[in-house]
Amino acid sequence: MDNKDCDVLVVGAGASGAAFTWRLAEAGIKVTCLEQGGWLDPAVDYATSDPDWEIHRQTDFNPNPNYRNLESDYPINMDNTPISPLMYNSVGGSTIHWSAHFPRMKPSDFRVRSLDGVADDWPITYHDLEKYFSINDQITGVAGLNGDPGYPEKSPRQTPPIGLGKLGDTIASGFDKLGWHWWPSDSAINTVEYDGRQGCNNCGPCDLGCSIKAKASTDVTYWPKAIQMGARLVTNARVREVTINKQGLADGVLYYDSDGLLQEQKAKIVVMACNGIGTPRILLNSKSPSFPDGLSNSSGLLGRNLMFHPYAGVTGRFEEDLEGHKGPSPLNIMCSEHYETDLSRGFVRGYSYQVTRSAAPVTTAIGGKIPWGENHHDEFKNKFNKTIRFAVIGEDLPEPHNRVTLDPELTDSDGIPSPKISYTLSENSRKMMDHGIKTSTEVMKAAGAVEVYTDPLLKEAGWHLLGTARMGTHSSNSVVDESGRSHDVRNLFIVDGSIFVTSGAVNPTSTIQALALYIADYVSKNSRHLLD
Amino acid sequence: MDTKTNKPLTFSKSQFDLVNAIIDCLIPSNTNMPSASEVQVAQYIDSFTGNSPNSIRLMLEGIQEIEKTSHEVGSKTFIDMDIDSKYKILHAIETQNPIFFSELVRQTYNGYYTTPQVLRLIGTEGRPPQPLGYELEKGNLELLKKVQDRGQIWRDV
Repeated sequence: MDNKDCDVLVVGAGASGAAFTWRLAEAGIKVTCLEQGGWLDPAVDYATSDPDWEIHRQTDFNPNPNYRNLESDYPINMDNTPISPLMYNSVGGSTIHWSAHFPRMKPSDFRVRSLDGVADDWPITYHDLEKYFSINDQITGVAGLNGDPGYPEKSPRQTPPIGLGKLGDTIASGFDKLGWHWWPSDSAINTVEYDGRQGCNNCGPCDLGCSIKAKASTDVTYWPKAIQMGARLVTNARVREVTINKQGLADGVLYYDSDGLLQEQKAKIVVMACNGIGTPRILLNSKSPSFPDGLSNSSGLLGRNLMFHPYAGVTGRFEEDLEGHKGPSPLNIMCSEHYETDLSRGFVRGYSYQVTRSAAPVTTAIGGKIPWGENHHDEFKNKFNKTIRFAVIGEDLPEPHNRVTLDPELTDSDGIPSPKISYTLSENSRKMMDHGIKTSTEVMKAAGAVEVYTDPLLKEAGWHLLGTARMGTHSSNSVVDESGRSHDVRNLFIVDGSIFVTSGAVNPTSTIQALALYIADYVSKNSRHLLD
Repeated sequence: MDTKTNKPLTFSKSQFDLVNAIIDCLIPSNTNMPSASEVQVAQYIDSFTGNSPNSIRLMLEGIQEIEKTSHEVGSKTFIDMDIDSKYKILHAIETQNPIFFSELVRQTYNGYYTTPQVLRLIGTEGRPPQPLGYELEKGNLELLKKVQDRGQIWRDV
């Protein structure tokens, strides 16, 4: 392996790694990215043209890496968490299987301590990131509608909002009757051709990968541009640890190449972009006499304050066929009615709902718990294409006991210790979920649902992995500073969701990528002085 | 079934007959819908299960348990039982051996609801989502005027 020295080394080619690498390559900086997974070819690797397409949700496209168990996956100890962490390991990372719901965090999400007396304030604001949100939207391609009173005004959306269809109109009528907020939320899905990628053809299962590249995953958005500008991307390269020199600076990484051989990649600056589980895992494994508790962990906070976004599921059953198989399954209507704190509700902070369409046939039968036997067909007929689902997404407050550690026994196929997740749902979150279930039931009934089923806490829903290398003003209260720079190792940066101080109550990817671009500009502007 | 050789991967001929009888209890026919055996779900289970030694073992031991219970309870083969007795036996197995039974139900549903004939009968076009996709209406965005008229609902800091 020809390991060319590089100025900047990025670990992880997912949402944040791609955005960061592109921005640096655009600035003419020599950057190499190591990714443990490989490339997927949208034309052949996604199952949506196969007769058994739905079954792939149970096998190679299961979002849970423990069940999926591909070569690029590593096992995770999930025994001590009611929420299973989900991720995809490849070029594109979890943007390969995401639903592409792309809302930004809101201004108040960055000032939780000042406004609501809990958690902490970020050392940066929404307005610091505004320019980067817009840049990210431009590269990604966002379908949406300006004018949402739930947000500050944004730059024009790149394509029109995802179609509502009959199902969307039905649920909108429920919000309308109650006079509540709803809006076609930002989605990272082209609804018409944009930036050389065709528009969505409304096939439905975005979670199985987009064979026509209408859904924005970073393998089709950022990476082609970054590589064209000189970025180097090495796949099937699984990083084991970050190494340091005698001066206590990061000087590269050790990784296993595609033949399973240990390699060394030197770099002047090291950037972690492995998500809220992958990043603390590698840094905790990067032990040395100078850093016996893992690299960049003088605060003791590396791995701590894991935030998931607890999800409750609320499904309304309707009597008419809602044609729920048409259109992106994540319809991405969002309700911000209960987003901001209102203490009269009995909890602090708030939640949103994300609307999704009806489940596909196999998912209806299995997930909808259709009983076997004489009543099977009637029960199936009552539910198939006649349901609307809300994901109630609650703001998860940072709690130090919720954490990622290294499992004492479990390892991946290269012998790298696996992460172990320890997480409990807080009382505040439980009250918030219960409130969200109650209010979303009201919307369903107002829309005409004849029956409402609820799942108080979705287990296979740990999509968002945040907080485990938090940002802050001082090495005693955080792992990185306001520029994503490690307090302990001045040429080590973290750019993924690990650095979140609070989680907001929305999908984090838009904010993760805006942060990655923001930090990239800091690195680019200061690269000559970072080692001073 | 191995599609190249047409040889079964998991079940013998008599086991196929037993599996057909079992899955027709899980998904029977009605006036509109075929039973599971009528759309070759047993062949699907045979094929899918046959990819994994653990799955083969689980499935064969499970159906043997069903057959054994039939003999113990009714002194008959499962196939010869009346329908009520069949259901009773399957409910008992569901409780006694939940790992096998849930896997059996899962594979039966997987096989049934990926069959083009069944997909057409439940109201879809009976094809995978790509490459054709679907037509989708834009919807009524006029209702959003009322949302906008409420004014700002985000907290400015």
